Amino acid sequence: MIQTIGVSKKFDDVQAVSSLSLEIRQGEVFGLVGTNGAGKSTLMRMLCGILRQDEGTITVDGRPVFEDEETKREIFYISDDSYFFSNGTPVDMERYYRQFYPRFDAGRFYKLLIQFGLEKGRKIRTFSKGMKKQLSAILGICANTRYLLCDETFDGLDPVMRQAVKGMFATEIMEREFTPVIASHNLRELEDICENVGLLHRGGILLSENLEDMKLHLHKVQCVIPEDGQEEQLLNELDVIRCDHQGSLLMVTARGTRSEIMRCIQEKKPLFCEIIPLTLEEIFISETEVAGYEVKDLIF
Amino acid sequence: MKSKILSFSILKETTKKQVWVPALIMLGFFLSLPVMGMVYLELLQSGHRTEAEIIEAYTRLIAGTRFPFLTMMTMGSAVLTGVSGFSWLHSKIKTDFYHSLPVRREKLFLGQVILGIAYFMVPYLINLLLAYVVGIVHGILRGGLIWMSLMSFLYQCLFYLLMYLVVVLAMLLTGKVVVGVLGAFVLTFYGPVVSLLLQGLGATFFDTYASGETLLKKVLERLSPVVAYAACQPDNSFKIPGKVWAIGLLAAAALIVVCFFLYKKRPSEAAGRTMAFGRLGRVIQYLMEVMVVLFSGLLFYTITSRGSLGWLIFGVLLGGVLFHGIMEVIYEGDIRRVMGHAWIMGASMVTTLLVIGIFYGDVFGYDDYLPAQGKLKSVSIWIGGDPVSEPNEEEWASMEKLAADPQVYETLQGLVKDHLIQIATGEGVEHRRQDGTKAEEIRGVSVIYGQSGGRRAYREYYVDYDQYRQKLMALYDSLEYKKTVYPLATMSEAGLEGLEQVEVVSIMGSYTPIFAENPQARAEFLKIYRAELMQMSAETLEKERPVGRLALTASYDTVMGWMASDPDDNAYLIYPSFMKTLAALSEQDVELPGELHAEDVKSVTVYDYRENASRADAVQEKEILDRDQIEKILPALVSTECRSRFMEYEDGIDVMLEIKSKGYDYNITCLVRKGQMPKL
Repeated sequence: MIQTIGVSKKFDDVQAVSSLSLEIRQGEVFGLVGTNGAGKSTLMRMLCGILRQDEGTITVDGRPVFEDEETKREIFYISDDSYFFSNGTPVDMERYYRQFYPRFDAGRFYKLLIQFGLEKGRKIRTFSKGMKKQLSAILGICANTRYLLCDETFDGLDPVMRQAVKGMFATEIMEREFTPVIASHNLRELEDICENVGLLHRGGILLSENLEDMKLHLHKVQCVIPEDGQEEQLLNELDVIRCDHQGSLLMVTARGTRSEIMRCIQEKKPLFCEIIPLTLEEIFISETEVAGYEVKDLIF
Repeated sequence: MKSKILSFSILKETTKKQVWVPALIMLGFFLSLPVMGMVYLELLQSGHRTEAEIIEAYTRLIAGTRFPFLTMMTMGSAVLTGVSGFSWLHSKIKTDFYHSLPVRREKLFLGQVILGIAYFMVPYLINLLLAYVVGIVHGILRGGLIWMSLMSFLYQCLFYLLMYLVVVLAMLLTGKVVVGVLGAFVLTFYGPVVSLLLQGLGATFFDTYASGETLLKKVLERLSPVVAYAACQPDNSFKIPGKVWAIGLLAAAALIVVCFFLYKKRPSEAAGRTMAFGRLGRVIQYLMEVMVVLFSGLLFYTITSRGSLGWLIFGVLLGGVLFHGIMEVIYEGDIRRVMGHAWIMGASMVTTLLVIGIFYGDVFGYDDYLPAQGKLKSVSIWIGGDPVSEPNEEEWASMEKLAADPQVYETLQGLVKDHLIQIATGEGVEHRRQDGTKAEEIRGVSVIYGQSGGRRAYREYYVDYDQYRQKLMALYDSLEYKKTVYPLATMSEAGLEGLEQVEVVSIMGSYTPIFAENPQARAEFLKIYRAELMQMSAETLEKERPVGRLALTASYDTVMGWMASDPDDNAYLIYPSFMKTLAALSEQDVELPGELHAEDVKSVTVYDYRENASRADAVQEKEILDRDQIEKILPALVSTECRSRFMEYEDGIDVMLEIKSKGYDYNITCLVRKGQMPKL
């Protein structure tokens, strides 16, 4: 389990991460989402021991991660912008990583290279951005570590390759103890793979929950309430996060179970009422708006 | 116990990605040693050289004393390996890559340092072996050659290590490669530049300032591995003193510890910043600004004709603002922040003015310094010229005896007192030296005060020669004093026999080697000369006109060699009263005519610049061709080749003689004895 308690990190005058506490349980796929500059990369770099936190503790399976070889052998970090040796080939990278990760599966590495259509002797600098991302993911998988930290790994992959990489992750989860932590600002990428999601905002964690639980406790409803005064009463009764009007059509995003929200609406005798499924993106926008973040500033 | 360094296989994999570095160094050594060796031997063997000469020349080549290739390789390799080995710390992507690996940073650091050393040593050693093979092929490989080249190898490795670690230190302190390289330059030359600035301040503001090898100067200069490398060059036999090894290795160990500590403390996020450590970076900025502001203030003070405090302050302000702006732009990477951290600029200006104030006001009493006689362990007094730098044991003993002599101490007290009076009355020595119409003859007297613990203080007093003439002459009559100024006086039997060459120089400027094939006879002759030199009085120096001098050449570039052949000041002059010396020379068919003869002189040109010494265009030039007039002037002339110490000469008159010779005519320069210039 990865656990952070009250972790803070400052770069000069910029507070990148502030008193962040988070738990990532063994075997779950954890998505780390957040606005640009929310501190996702900083958190990932602290989780894998690149950066030392200014305050707080970070432990992986109960051990501190910074400068701990044993712990770091269980973590593989795929950076947003991975480094490959100049003139290096996939073979060179495999040989280098093998020195540091004792369980590195070279056989599987070469098999996956063939599967993904990557030439093992070709210079990596001639690879496209997407091919480099694929190579990074393959190296990460074959290092056979228990934790794989992926920073914007799916960014730059075409939909087919994205699915292939996700499939590769799914296989790993099925076959061994494997906990991928995927940081991305693209919520659509995470929706179909992550079980748990942590929402980062301005260096702090807004929420960290199971995606299904989040969907169970946050709903979007559109309805038409004919009687004056009833609509206002409804909005008072619900834990409203967001409310919009389109003519007489009322669209409300509110906290609560489906039955609780529906009961309140039915009491107001609506002409029309419908629950609309919330996407992760909408959940994210709703939560960040509550925290005072403007939707127009978001980049997806 | 876990290993503190990376495993061999990891080092091997790391080398693969840096292979261009050892390859380049290998190429450099290949060209400098075996290839250069083959070419050089080909040239040597095609000339008329003995085998011994060829072996010596080849030894010098591969030991690095013949050509500067090894020096260039050592310095160049240190910069190359230092920068290339740690430049990844300046890239965020690379830093993330290496620091995410499951390996402790100390292992990464030590592994890279080991590789950096191996990248130099292995190619060097391989090519040294190839140079031996070249030697074997040409049949000139000897044990001495191998020994000296291996000593040279160790010496180069030691200084490579020091230079390499300084470059690594600069790379660790900075976050950009360009700044790292500049930082290496600053770290390498900060000490010597500060030393030069302190010397400049001393020379500018102290009246008795004399440059000398003080402990502070030595330490500051040797903070630079490049200067230390040049200063500690081994002698021809390649015997490297144990002190050099001990200090060198200690310095290397200290640098490794500092680098190791900094590496562990260096935050990964420092990649891309100008300075890796914010506060330390500002301290470095302050130190650099102080240095540059000091230089700027001093520059404006000295380039103005009289040196004014106004110009000094202008220099401080201008240098302070300009350099602070440059530093801020480098640090912040933003021209709009040019005047950020103004407090550093202010602090550096205040520090500079404080330092200049200390020198200007002579706060620590530099000019009136004179140790109490009880604390004065040794003293060296030179009348004109620079003092000897490294006395031998016997010279040192004589300097100690001089220090204990009350009369000598009294003379020193007088020098200091008179100097202070001159300064107090406003007739500063500087003024008098710049005044071309001065009435008194001012002569410099250099003094080294030796104190306990080997500390030395150097001073130079400019004194009214008429006033001190008798005291200085009395000093010269002392045997102990002679021992401190003539290296020949304390030279051992082996030293006498070991001299490479002894030549007799006539007043006409001709050089005649003597006893070239017989070192024993040469030593005996020098003993005869030495005995007469030791008995010579100051009166002889004052009145007798030398008939020649001895030029001694000691073994390769030693201090003794330089001292012995210096024609100025305390040269080994031969006077007419040195009867035994002249007789011994006569036996060798060397005759020294005491007089210049008119028939040998084609023309005499007199340069008279007494009217206005400060103006070069005011020199009056007069050529004399008339034989009678030439005969009149010749008895007044003393060849500059053989000028005597206490003899007095006319100020502002030089004479050039054109000498007739069978093969070709040549010129010699003469001085005119005081009061003997005839009316022409």
